[in-house]
Amino acid sequence: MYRLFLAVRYLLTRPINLLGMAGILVSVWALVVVVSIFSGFLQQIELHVRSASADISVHELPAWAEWTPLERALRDDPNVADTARRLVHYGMLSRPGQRPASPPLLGRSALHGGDQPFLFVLGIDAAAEARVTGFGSWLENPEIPAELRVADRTRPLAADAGRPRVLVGLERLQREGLHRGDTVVLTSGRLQSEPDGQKGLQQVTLELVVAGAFKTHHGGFDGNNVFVDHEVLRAALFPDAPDGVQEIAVRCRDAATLDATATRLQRAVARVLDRGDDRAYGKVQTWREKNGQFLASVEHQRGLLKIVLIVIMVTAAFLMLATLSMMVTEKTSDIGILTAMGATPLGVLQVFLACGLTITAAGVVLGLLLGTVTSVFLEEIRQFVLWATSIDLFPLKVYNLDRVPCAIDPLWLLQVAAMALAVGTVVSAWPAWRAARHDPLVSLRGN
Amino acid sequence: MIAAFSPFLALRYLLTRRINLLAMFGVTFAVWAMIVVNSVFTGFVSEIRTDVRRASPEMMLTDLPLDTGYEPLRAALEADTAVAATAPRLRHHGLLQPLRVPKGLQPRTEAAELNFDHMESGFALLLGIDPAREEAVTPLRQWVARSEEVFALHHVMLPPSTVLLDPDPDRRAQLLLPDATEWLARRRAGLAVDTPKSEYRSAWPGVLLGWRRAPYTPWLREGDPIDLLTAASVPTTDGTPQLRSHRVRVAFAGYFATGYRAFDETTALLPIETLRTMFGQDIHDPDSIDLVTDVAIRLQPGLSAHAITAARDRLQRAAQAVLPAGSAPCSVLDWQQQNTVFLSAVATEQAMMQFVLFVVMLVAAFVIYAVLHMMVVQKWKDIGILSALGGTPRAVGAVFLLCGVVVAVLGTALGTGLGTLSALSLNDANEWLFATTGLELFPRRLFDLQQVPVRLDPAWLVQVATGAIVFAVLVALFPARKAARMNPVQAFAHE
Amino acid sequence: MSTPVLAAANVTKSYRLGKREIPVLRGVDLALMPGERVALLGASGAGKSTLLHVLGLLDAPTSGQVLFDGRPVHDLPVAERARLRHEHTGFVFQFYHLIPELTALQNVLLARMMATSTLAYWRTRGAARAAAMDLLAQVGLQDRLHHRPSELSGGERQRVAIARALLAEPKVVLADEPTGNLDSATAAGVVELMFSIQQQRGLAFLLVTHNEDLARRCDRIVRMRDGVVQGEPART
Repeated sequence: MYRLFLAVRYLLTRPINLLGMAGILVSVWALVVVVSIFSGFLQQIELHVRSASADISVHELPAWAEWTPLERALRDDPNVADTARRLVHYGMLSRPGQRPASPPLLGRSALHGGDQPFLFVLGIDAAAEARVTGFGSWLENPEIPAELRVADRTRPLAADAGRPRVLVGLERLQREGLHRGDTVVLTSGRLQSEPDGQKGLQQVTLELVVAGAFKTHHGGFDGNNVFVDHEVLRAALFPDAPDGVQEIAVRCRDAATLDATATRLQRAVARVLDRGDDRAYGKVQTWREKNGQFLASVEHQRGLLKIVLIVIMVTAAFLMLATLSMMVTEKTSDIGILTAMGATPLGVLQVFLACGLTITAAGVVLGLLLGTVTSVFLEEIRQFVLWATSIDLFPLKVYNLDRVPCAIDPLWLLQVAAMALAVGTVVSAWPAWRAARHDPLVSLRGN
Repeated sequence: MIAAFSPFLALRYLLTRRINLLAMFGVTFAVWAMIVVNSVFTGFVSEIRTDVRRASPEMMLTDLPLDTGYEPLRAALEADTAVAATAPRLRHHGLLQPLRVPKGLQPRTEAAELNFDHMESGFALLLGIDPAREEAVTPLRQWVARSEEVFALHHVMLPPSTVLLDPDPDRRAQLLLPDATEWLARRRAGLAVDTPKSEYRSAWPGVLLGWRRAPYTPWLREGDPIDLLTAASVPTTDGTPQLRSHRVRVAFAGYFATGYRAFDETTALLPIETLRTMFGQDIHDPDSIDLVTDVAIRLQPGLSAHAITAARDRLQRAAQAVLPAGSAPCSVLDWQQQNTVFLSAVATEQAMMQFVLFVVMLVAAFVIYAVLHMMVVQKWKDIGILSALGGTPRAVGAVFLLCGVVVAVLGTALGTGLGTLSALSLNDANEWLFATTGLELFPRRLFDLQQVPVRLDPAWLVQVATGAIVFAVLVALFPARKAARMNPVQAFAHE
Repeated sequence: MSTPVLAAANVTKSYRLGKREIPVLRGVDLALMPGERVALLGASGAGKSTLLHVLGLLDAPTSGQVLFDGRPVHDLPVAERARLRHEHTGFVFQFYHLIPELTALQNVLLARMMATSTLAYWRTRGAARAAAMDLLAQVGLQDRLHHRPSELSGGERQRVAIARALLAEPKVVLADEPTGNLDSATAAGVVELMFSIQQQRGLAFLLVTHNEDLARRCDRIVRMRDGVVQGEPART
């Protein structure tokens, strides 16, 4: 009992111990906040990508691939809930009578693209798409102003008095000053076999009516793509392939087993497309695989930063070591008295170890708390700093974000806490051991 | 005046109290960490900035109206004494589709990936250049030559392209490949060849691709035909603009490597005439416009920063005067302004790192504070004696302040020395570690670097050193003040 | 009659303990003439030490004056008081108060370092050392120059403290029970040493003590009780 009692007394009567605690606190705080920003950033990007992707997509389909057999094969899989076919083409969108601008200068364009006049045209079946991807919610994104929303959400791409409709990303729509009902021209081309056996490019021009805006969380996706009705695009590009398909979006029942499902689907697709020519047609990828490279690079940066952050922890260890060993030096007479009163060296060791551990624990708890609170209110802090000093701590626009990202990973919090406690134990152990070995007679003899 | 006892006693205290060593090592560690981390990070950042710098012309005239011709701008810009050379540039965009695809792989003629970087889809920013002029403004040949180094790092042996070395200036302007190479490439791609090899003349304009495309089309060989698909507006007789789709066959002429990731990922260099033709401006037509979207500018060497800023404004005015009246203002951008988005992203990361390092410094200062504070508390009796002997409060405080200063200076000196040493031998250590344990602390391949880029900035060393000392002294002031304010009588009254 | 070298005029001193004001000195008058040896007797808590601290300018009086050579000095700026303390007053304490990190010689030298700048001290360090060694020899410690306080006996420590008090050649020595912590034989030696030096140098000497025998060897005995001086008997 006296151990804990003494440890608490020592701590309370010596404010300098607060400093040791502050060291742990600051290091835990920094570890939590900085890593939370990075994790949040990563999570945000994943979320952005996820919001614009199907669970699994089948692409790189050959020109002769047919939708019906593929769909049947995919739906045979127990984990496949639904599928939607897509045609993917390219083109340039311009207003009639106007010339498209040149592409932006590389170093001044958005980090993730989406501001080029050149874009991809997705031919989709709106109803199927809404079942498989977040298509429905893209149209209802609250950021879309009422006048740019699609009029008929159930049939957004239905022809307008015989003229096909197009859905354009919100930002592009606003940048180009387009409104619902405006006419735009999509200029593209299709390759066609010519008499000499070569393929020639035949111009395809589609006059489209703007149906409204869509918005995912993925700025690049919104900027790079427009949607038209599958049938419209097919008729223009592949008039003689009524069952043509270039990409299939797949929704799974169980999102946890995407990788296994993708492997199964890859086999199924290969079976359907097998022509006996030793070629494996079609590629099945989960949404994460499709964007793997970028996610990996952010993750790597987070890893590097973690290493650097450990430096703070080590410095904090110095601090604790200093305060605790000074306490032992100062308390040598107490140690003498304790021993005289019958305390064992182990008991003395425990007193000082308890001191160190209490300091560490307090630092960890406060650091975690403060770190979590700071992380949660980072955006508010950023805005306050911006308002007070007009310094922008985090250029959100560059990263296409609307607030400072933050994701508090409980596992990381646990890791930080465990690491700090381990460090605290090690640095408390040494002075405590020194105290235990202290010869009580030396201190009792006095100075 | 510093009373003699202050330094004397400070030194005695330092020598007899081991705890001061701990404080010193705390500072040493913090300074060491700051120098190593920052030198590596600065190395990376300066590497990135060098790469961006290498990929960008010194100045660029941009934001030009449509249908702007090069010649009048060239005359206006080159009239300025600060300008050494200019080069025309025409930006456009399109899809690049290799014709020949080996067995087992799918041609992606029509498919497109929805990716952040478009590379798999074949999307490219097309940059039309006049090679002869471009070489006078940017290190174009170096870009091409560097690709060999970069590939070697990835264990791919690929000699650099020789299209820029063709002795015939007309062929060079078209980036034409040697006749025999193109003839072979035709055959490889299964295209009909009517003429025998010896009489064949190359006809496909060459395209130089950023080396980061290589993983997506690893089978591409010099001369392989690539279809360039795009749409461009062409002039019509009645004046209404019309967009026309194009497919142009170009020949793969090789890779370039500026080092600037985004540039090497997205850009394809091709003869400016090829692009102009797509816009309906045929060089053989006397009325055609020598179309540009930008003009790259190299300034005379050795200009001061001030002279460069002045030149920028002057060039902007000169260019604006040539443009049709009422045009939107054009811009002249230096290399940093050309890359604001990217550079500001880099700067954010650097700021984050520096924040972390600042926290390290803060905690290290805590150590000094703690040690000195404890010393003052323990030495209250000595403080009383010093007062009784006639020490002024300031001199008594100075004892402790000096302790802090010495700890900080020694710790900083040691940390700076160690930090410099470890930063300099970082690559050796990394290699040794890799050789003996197979562990790689810094995955160099990930960054396409031959070495961990370490940049020991003397200014940073000085900053860290003075920063650490100033910080420590500021922190030491508190215990020193406490000592100075101590009531000496208490020291005796306690008995 | 000459002016007293050090005098307290109606000095009061009280300490604050929580909300209470505790008076320790309640109007003390005391004059110390040059070369005079005065004993200050009184029970514990009578305010002897406090008076000593006030006279030595270590503590400021709550009211009243401290006069040095007839000049009021208690309200001088802090640096000025420190200088006066160094130049004119030597302290000897019951618990010696040597700095444990320093050798005997260094402890004595410390007194010289107080008012000299680092550079000035460096130039004259030879002379300072000689003077300190000379003083230590006078107190009989020529063989113990390089010992730390922890390696010296109580008597030896007090001799070092005396040497330290004398190095700056003060006019006044204030001794607070200098023998209180020593056995009688050692104490006798220390007292003889102090008195002989006092006589030799003509110092004013204020000796706080409990010891009546010791007090009787002084020129004058001043008794204190409850913070006031109880009459001043005539000089012997």
